[in-house]
Amino acid sequence: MDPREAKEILQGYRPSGADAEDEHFREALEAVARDPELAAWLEEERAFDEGFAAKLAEVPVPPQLKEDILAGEKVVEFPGFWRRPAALAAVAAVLLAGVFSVAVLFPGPEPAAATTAMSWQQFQQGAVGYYEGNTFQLKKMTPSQEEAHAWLARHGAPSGFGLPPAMEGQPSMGCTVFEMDGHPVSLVCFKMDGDLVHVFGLRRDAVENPPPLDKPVFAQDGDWSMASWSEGDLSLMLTSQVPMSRIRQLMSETDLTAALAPRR
Amino acid sequence: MVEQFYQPLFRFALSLTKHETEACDLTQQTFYLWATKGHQLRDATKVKSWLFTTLHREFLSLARRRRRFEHTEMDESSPELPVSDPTMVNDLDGKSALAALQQVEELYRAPLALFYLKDHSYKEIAAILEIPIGTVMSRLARGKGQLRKILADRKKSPTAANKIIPLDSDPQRKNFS
Repeated sequence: MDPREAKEILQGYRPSGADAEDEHFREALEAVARDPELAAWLEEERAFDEGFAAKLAEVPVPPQLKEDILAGEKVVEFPGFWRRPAALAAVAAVLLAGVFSVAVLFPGPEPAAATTAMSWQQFQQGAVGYYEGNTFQLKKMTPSQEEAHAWLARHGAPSGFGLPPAMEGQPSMGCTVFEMDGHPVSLVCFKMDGDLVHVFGLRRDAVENPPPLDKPVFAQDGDWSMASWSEGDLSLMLTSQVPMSRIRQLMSETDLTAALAPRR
Repeated sequence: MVEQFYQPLFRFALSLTKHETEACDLTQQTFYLWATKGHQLRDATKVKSWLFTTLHREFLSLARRRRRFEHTEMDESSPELPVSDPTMVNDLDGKSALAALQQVEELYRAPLALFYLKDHSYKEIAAILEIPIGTVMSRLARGKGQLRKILADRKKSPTAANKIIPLDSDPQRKNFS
């Protein structure tokens, strides 16, 4: 190994010496041991790196940043999901894929007539696809369900829907709104016993086959377990990457006619 | 965890965005994503890499949307190896060191920032930036070369260099000269 090669490799050698045992640097360090000129270069290099790193560590951090992070408050909201062409294309792809997979994943009666409205199953896949996509973010961070619903209402999104008794009073993580097939969709997220649980809602007439009013229906899509029901003029989906038994447990005490009475 | 990582994450974000408010946003967004998706990470030793990778991805995503930071891949072969002069850092403070780092081309700035800001190994830098180890090495070498040149120029002409203080500034709006 010539000095030039050794120098290039040693550019990644940390001044703290934490890489001394790393095999990647062995040959270059052997070259250093044989070559006093190279050794002097490395010593100066490490001194520079150490000094520069120390200077960067002095860069002040805004005093409010930590509190803002802990409070979960966003200072600036990025552009909405529905305004991003790439995101729309991604959802369109998910929905298109859903058209072909729905019959296999969620067998059911054939639609009576051709329609442009999305199916509930397409909504389910699109909603999960949105959450899993890189563009997902909660625009309102709050542990208060009431605040979350108030924020959703202010943003023209479905709000005021009830939740299974097991989730009533649970602190939320936050909420957001996005758009599917031209309809605003609400999303409220919770963390329950370490599991993230999401509740999506949209207008019942936005889908051609909304879930029933009187009882929840369950579906599995990959590792996503889903419970769906309708309430008044809204249709809702509770979903999480947990076994279906957990979802059924959350919904088990649910008498939809009573327990899921709207907040409004 | 916030206590342990928010400062280096903010400084990394600041080196990328050059704007304090954007760096704050990126840092907050990173912790938000951790709160919502971090549970999927099974190996607790990879939290640091996860956070820095996520922040970098968010930055790239933001940059793509804004189409402000487009760059072309440059020839990364035969980098000019830097000449070491440890005394160059003696008259720097945190802001001027950051200003110098922010002048390094974006392609080389991210690995260089990671190398200096939180003492990441070359393997961690490769994982965070999702590039091969060899590319990390060549970008570090070239980035250090640029940094040395920037600092040397600054030393020759401190007045001109002092104009570069984009900590919380938008050069379109503020004039530091």
